[in-house]
Amino acid sequence: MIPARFGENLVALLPQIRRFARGLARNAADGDDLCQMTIERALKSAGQWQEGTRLDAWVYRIMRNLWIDEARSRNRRDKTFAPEEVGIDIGDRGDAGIEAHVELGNVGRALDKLPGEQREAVMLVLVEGFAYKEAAAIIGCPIGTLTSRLVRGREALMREMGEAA
Amino acid sequence: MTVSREEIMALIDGELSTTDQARVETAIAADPELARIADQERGLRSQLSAHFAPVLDEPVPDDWLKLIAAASLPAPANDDANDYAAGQTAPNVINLAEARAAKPRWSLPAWGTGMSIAASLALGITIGTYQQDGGPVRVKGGALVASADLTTALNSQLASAADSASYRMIASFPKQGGGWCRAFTGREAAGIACKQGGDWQLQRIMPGSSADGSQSSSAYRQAGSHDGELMALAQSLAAGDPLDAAGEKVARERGWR
Repeated sequence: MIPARFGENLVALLPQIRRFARGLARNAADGDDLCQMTIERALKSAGQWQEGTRLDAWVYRIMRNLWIDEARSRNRRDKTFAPEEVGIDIGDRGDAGIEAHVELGNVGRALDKLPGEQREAVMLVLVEGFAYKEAAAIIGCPIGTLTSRLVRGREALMREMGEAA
Repeated sequence: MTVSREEIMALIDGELSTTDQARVETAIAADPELARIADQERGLRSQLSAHFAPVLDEPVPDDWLKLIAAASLPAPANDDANDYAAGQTAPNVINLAEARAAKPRWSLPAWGTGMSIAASLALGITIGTYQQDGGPVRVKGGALVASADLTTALNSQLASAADSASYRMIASFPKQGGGWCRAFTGREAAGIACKQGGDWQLQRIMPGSSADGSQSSSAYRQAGSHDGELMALAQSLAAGDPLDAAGEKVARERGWR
């Protein structure tokens, strides 16, 4: 069985990890599926969690990695999936995509168009409130990589939202 | 002196040292263009927060709480030491298909809401208070087992027994891997016990109905009637439907073996 405190703390985290899942998956149904997978994985791996370390960062890392796996397998299944789904280093999507959505211009649309790597950085720091160091550890990248993704992500969001204004 | 956009972002994100923070704030105060950038960054942050805030208010699906509650149960007792204190056994009850299909098959008292499942989880297994002499529970070989009148009730009392007894049996059911378990509730404690050798091993123990006095009464009240939660937990342990009255009598005659 899992330690009682682990269960309590996981329950307390559910609303916020659901929020992160929503940001990664970009829609409620996929986000909730991702959240459920994350809960299952966290329970199964509970023995690997080190008491005294942050449970939230540990669970976010599980979710993030599950999402990368999920996005990769979707990408294999469905070649029409946009490459930024994969969430690893990929360039800007280009002007065509931006023009197609410019009229929608709200936060959600702007976020949807971010490459996965920038979206996860923006979610972790600006929405979930992690410090750069913590967010970089969750993603598994150097802090410099995280901050440069953050800068590019923010600029892209402002450009999107500014154009629509 | 000038500052970069990255530094302004870091300021908004709370990532600057005290010295750098003072320097960047001073620069922003002196330069309307920098102030405009800082406002943009703050605005972006608050728009993003506002966009996702409603997710936090969505009711958490019961299925998720049940998954966590089910994994918080001890692994089914077996002949190896089922070391309650260590409690590190990997849960083997996670099954997505079953969890998704989980519906209250057993028609018993109304299910606990998500909150009450969470509340019982939050109560945890605060077993210390139950272990005093004459209490319903004691520790034996690293496991919690029933003692005193709880043992008597588990051995002999049928689910149809009158409510005047110290304990009320909610259900008796076959355990995965063999053997019998009983869900019970009473003044001193509520829970699920499974027959293991000569003992009733507690799979789950919760405060009873009398626990509204000295200790954390609001939390206990919130957990309220445990029947629904116990049924949910029982289902995750059970290998089949609960016994009817006749089945219970037969099982009792055979000493729940």
